[in-house]
Amino acid sequence: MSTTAASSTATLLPPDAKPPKSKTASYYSIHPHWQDVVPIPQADQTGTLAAIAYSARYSEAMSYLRALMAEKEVSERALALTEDLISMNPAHYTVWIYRMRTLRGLWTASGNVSNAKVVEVQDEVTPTGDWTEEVDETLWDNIASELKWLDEVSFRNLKNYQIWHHRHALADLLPADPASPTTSTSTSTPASETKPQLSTTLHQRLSTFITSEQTFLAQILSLDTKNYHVWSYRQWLCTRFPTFLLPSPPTPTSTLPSQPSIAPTYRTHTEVHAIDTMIHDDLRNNSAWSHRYFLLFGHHELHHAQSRTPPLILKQVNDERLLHAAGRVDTPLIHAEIAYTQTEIRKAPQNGSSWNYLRGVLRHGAVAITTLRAFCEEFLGPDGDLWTDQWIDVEVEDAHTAEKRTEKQELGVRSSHAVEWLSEIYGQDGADGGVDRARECLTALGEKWDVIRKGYWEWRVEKLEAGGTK
Amino acid sequence: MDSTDEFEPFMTIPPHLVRWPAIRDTLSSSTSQLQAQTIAECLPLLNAINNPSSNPFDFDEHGQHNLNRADHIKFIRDGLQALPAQFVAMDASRPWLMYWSLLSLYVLGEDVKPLQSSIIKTFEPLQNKSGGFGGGQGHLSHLAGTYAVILAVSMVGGQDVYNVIDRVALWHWLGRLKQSNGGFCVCEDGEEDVRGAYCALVAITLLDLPWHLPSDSAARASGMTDFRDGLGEYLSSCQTYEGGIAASPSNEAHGAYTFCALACLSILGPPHETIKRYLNVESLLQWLSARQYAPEGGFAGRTNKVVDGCYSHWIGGCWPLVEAVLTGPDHEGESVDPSTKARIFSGEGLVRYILGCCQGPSGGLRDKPSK
Ligand SMILES: [Zn+2]
Repeated sequence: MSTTAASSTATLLPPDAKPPKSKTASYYSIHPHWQDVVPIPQADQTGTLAAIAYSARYSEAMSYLRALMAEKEVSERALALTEDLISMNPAHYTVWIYRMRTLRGLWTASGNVSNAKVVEVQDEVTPTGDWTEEVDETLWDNIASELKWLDEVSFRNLKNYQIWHHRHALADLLPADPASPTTSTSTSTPASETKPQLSTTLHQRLSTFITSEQTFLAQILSLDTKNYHVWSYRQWLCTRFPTFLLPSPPTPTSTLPSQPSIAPTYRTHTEVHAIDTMIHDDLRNNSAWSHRYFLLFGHHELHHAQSRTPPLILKQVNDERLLHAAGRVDTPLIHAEIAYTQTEIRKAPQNGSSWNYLRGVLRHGAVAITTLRAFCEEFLGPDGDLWTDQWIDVEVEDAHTAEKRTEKQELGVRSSHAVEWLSEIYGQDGADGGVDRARECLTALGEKWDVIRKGYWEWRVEKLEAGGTK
Repeated sequence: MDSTDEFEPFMTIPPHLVRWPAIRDTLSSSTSQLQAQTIAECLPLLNAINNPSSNPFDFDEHGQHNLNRADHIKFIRDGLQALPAQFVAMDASRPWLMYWSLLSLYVLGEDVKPLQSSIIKTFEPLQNKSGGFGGGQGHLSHLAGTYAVILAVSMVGGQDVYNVIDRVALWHWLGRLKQSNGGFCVCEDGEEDVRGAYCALVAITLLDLPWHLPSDSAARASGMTDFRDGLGEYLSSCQTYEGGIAASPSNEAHGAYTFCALACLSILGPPHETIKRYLNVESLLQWLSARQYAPEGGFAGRTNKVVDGCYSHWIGGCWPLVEAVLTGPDHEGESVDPSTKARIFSGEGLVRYILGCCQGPSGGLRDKPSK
C-alpha cells in the first residue's frame, strides 16, 4: 500500500485518521491506505426481500471487505477493517472468520506484516504444535494481545457467540497438552510407551494461560450465569487442556490398570471448586451441574467411546458398564457425589437440576436406584402419604399463653421428583405390591403434582404394567 | 334459573393452567426468582377471559385468546419489505429471516407462489461459486443460511426457483464441511455442532445429492467415503446424562440441538430404528417431557430455564419424531400416524401459552410477555 497517493488528491484523510463514529461519513474511499483497492458494492437490491437499508458507513466497509476477501488479502489493514466491521455488527460470522484467517497468515509470515498482499491464507500456523517444541514467544505475545482485545469485545456483547468460536480458534493455536485425547488418539498407544511430558517452561506458560482463562470465564459467567456459548467454550477448553482443567485427566488404557481415587482431594481442584461456588450461589444453575458432570464423569465416558476405532455409541459405555470393565469407575468419588447431591436436594427438593445430576451419577456408577428409597421417602407426606398438600394447616398452642391458632407447616409432599423416583423404585420390587404403589405414584403425579405432564405419566403407567421399565 | 349460568362453560380453564405450581421450594435463588417472575407475568394473560375488563369477543369457546391472523400476516409481510438500518445485526442471517417469514405465511394459509421472482432475485447474490449460500452478498457460505434457502425455495416451488441452486458446487462444499469425527462444521473454519449435521442432511436429501463424499473431501483421509459415516455415533455422543442433546459432545442438553439431532437421525433412517439405536430413549423422554411447565404451558429449552416461545418450535418439533419412535410401524411395516395415539405432551397447555402469552400487540410472536 502506498501513502504517497495522498498528495495527489486534496480530499483524502490524514493517514492516521481513525474510522469515524458517524454512520453517514465516508472513510475507506478517502483514506490514503485504501486507494489501491477497488471496492465491490452490494448488488442492486430493488425487488429483493428483507433488504436492509444499510448506513453509508457499513455499506462502504462491506464493499472493501468483499474486495479484500476476493483477493484473500492478509494484512494489517484487513485486521483493522474487521475490527471496524465487528464494532458495527458483531454477529457477522464472515468477518470473524476472515479475521482469524488473517491473524494466522500474519503470524506465520511475521516480518512482512505491514505489506498489503503478503501471503495467501494457505500455510497456516499448525493448530496443535508438538509438545516437545520450544515455546514460541512471538506467537504467545500475539495470542495474548488478541485475547486482550477480545475480552473487551466480549464484555460489550454478552449474547454474541462468534466471539467464543474466535477464542476457541486462538486457544487452539497453543501447544498441545499430551493428556488431551486429540493428541493421544491419532495412533494406538503401545503398552511400552511412556506418557509424554510437558517441558517445565511450557507447563508454566500454559498454566498461567489457563488461570487467566478461568478468571475471565468467572467474570463473564457472573454477568450471565447460563450463557450456553461460554459454557461450551469452557468444556472445550477442558478437553483441550486436560492436565490443567480435569481432576482426573484421561490416560492411555493400556498403561494403567486403574487410577487411584480422586475422592480425597477433588473438591480443591480449581475447576471443581469454581463449580462448587457457582452451585452455592444458585443451586438451580443447570449449566453448572452439567459442567460438574462433565468434569467428574462425562469426559471419561466420551473418551472411552471416542478412543475406539470405530467410535462406540455413547450410551453403550454406561449400558454395558464398559468403564467398570476397564477399571475406570471411581467408586469413592461416586459415593462422595451422591452424598453431596443429597445435601443439595434437601435444601431445595423441587430442583430438577440436582435430581437429574443424581440420576446421572447413579447410571455412571451402576448404583441401583433402589438404594435411595429411604432418601426419596423423606420428601413424602406423613407415613409416606403421596397426596398431602406441601403446606397444611396445623393447630398449635402457644407455650406461654396457651392460646390456640392455626399455622401452615410444610408436612406434605415436597418433591414431585421424589414421587417420580419412587414410582421407579417401587416398580422394581414387584413382590410386595410394589407395582400398585408405583402406579399410585404416577397417578398422584398426573392428578396432583405435575398435571400438565399427565400424558407422560400415563405412558409411564403403561410401561410399568408391561414390565417395560428397568 | 340464574341467567349467568349459560356463560359458565365458557370460563372453564383447567385449574393447573391458571394457578401457581402445587409444590414450590422455600429456598430462593436467582433461578427461582426469575421463574416466579415469569409465572406472575403469564398468569393474568392465561386467565384473561376471567378479567372483567377483557373483551369477550377476543376469546373462543374454550376461553382461549383468538389467533390474530390478520395482524400476524401484516407483521410478516412488513418484515419482508425494506428494513431500516438498525436491522444491520440481522445482516448475516437474512435467509433465516426470510425462511421463517415464508414458513409462517405458509402455515397461516397464505399463497407464497407470487414471491417466486423476488426469491430468485434475493437468493442469487447470496450463492458462492464454491458452493452454498452466505448470510449476505460476499459472506462465506453457511449451513444455517443454506438450509433456510433450500427450504424457502422448496416452499415457493417452480423450476426457475429450483435452478437458482448450484447442486454440484453445493455437494463439493458439503464435502469440505464433513469432519473426521462424523459431524459437520457450519462453515469452513466455523464451529462444528449438531445443527451443522442436521442442515447438511436436509440439503443432501431435499436436493437429492449423492451420499458418497466428493473426492476432494478431507474426511476421506480418515477413511470415510459417505456423508453418513460416523454420523450416528457423533450424534450419540451429544446426548447428555439428562437425556436431551447438546450442541457438541460434553455440553448441556438443549431444546434446539435436541430437535436438530432427532431430525437428523430421522433423515438417516426410520426414527424407530435410528433414534432407538443411537440414543437412550427412556432418558430422552424424561428430559423432553420435563420441558413443559404449568401454569405457563409452553416449553423451556433447558432444565431450570424459563418458558420461551421459540421452543414451541424446537421442543414441539421433537414430539412427532419421538411419537414415531414409540408408535413404530404396524405389523405390516407401514408407519402409523402417531396423532391417532394419546399425546404425551399437553397440546392444550402449549396452545394456551402461544395464544395467550406470545401474541404481540401488533402481530408477531414473542418469547414471553416481557420478551
Ligand atoms: Zn426464544
